[in-house]
Amino acid sequence: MSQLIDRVRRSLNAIQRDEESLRAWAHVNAERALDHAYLIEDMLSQGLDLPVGGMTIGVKDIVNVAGMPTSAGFAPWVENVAQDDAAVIRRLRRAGVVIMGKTVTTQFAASDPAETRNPWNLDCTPGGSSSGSAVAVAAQHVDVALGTQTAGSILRPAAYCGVIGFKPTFGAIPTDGMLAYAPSFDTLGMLARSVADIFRVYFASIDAQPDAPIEQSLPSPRIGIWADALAHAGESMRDAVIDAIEQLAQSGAQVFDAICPLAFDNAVAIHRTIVRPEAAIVHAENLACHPEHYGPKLRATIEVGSVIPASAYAKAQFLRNEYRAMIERHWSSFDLIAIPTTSTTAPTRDTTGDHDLQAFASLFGFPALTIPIGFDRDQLPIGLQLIAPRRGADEHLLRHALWVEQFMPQMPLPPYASEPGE
Amino acid sequence: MPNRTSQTEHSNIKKALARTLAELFGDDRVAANDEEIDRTADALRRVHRLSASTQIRSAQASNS
Repeated sequence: MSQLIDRVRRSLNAIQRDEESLRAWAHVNAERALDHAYLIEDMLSQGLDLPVGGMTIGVKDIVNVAGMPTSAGFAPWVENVAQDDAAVIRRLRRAGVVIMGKTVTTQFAASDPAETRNPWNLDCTPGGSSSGSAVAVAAQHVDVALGTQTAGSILRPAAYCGVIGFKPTFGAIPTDGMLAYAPSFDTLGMLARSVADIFRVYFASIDAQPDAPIEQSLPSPRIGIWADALAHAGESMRDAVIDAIEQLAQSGAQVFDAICPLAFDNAVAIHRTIVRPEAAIVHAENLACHPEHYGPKLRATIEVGSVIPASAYAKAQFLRNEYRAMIERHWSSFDLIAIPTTSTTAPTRDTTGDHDLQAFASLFGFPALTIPIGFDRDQLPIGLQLIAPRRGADEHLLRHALWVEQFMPQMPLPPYASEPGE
Repeated sequence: MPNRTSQTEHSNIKKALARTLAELFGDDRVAANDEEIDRTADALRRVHRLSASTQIRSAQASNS
């Protein structure tokens, strides 16, 4: 049996073994995944150039994969089989990925917790909304999983589950074939266990070639520490992040204080004032048809979004554009802004966690990445968030993240994931 | 700590939101809880307070 087929079989076995405890998968079709692997194997043996040939992926269940259901965690849509691939899936298929299935999302990528468990502690949330994607990567079911972020839905679950999460610049990856939540912010991205894997899948997703070989990192970044955001995190998170940044400074990074022209709480307010009305518009008709199937948090979001005045929404959009330009100028000398990814480590499963610290990059469309830097005293992972404070600096951020990664701990297999290879 | 004016503004916005929600969805069917309304009122107050004057200034500059 070839290496790829063997790997896919082992992943399918691990998914099956872990599903009862972790509940990361909404849909898996083993036969199709194997057929796909044989096809990729054949293409690779013919010497075809496939940039991500043989990488296994899970796809968040709000992104269409032809022939698989797009259920979005919504009971009436359990058998809602997609006829066509989303644009990003078409690109990734051409580049050679093996699609293992659809990963669990919170309902419509909002805040009502899904059934998925955190593989570091089953009583903790894996975060949301890309819950299944983060768990599938942490449990080594797949190499990479696609996620989406409107506030913090890639970075937060990635941090809670101890994997790397990347939210590219808003609009970098086409969202055709993906369910909307708040179209001003909805962004496709990916989660993986290495920056190099993120890099490869990101470039396949934007259908482009990087400027230099993937292995080429950008050393010695100029890092800004934003104290206003740091203050939003708990003490142990702040200490862990400061320790990690000190380690980077000792390794050659230049570290400075970064003053933001916009107060942290005001950034969160602008984000909230835009997201809620957009979610209300997206969901108005469906909620009217199926009110009993909506989660209480999403329903509350939609209701409140319906009564936010148009003038407040319009002003928030003005402010967003104005402050983005100001921040891009103000922070132009920084390669990275470093802040904690989350305010705490993974809380209990009655919430998906606090999204405020991740919402800043979402608000302005900046690329952002979270990388694991260790554990708290309960052995739950901690993430460091790196933001490139200008749109379009995705490759720049990824190359700096390659450099940062070498100084950070290698994450072990979580205790509630089964050993791969069995 | 918000000052007295901010607290009054916050309270007024919160009341207006709760009233409109009840009118739109019906008193007994509103899912939005106090925390959701409270946080949204705070967001609206902050957005209201933030100056969009740069927009106006740049518009004035381009018109002059």
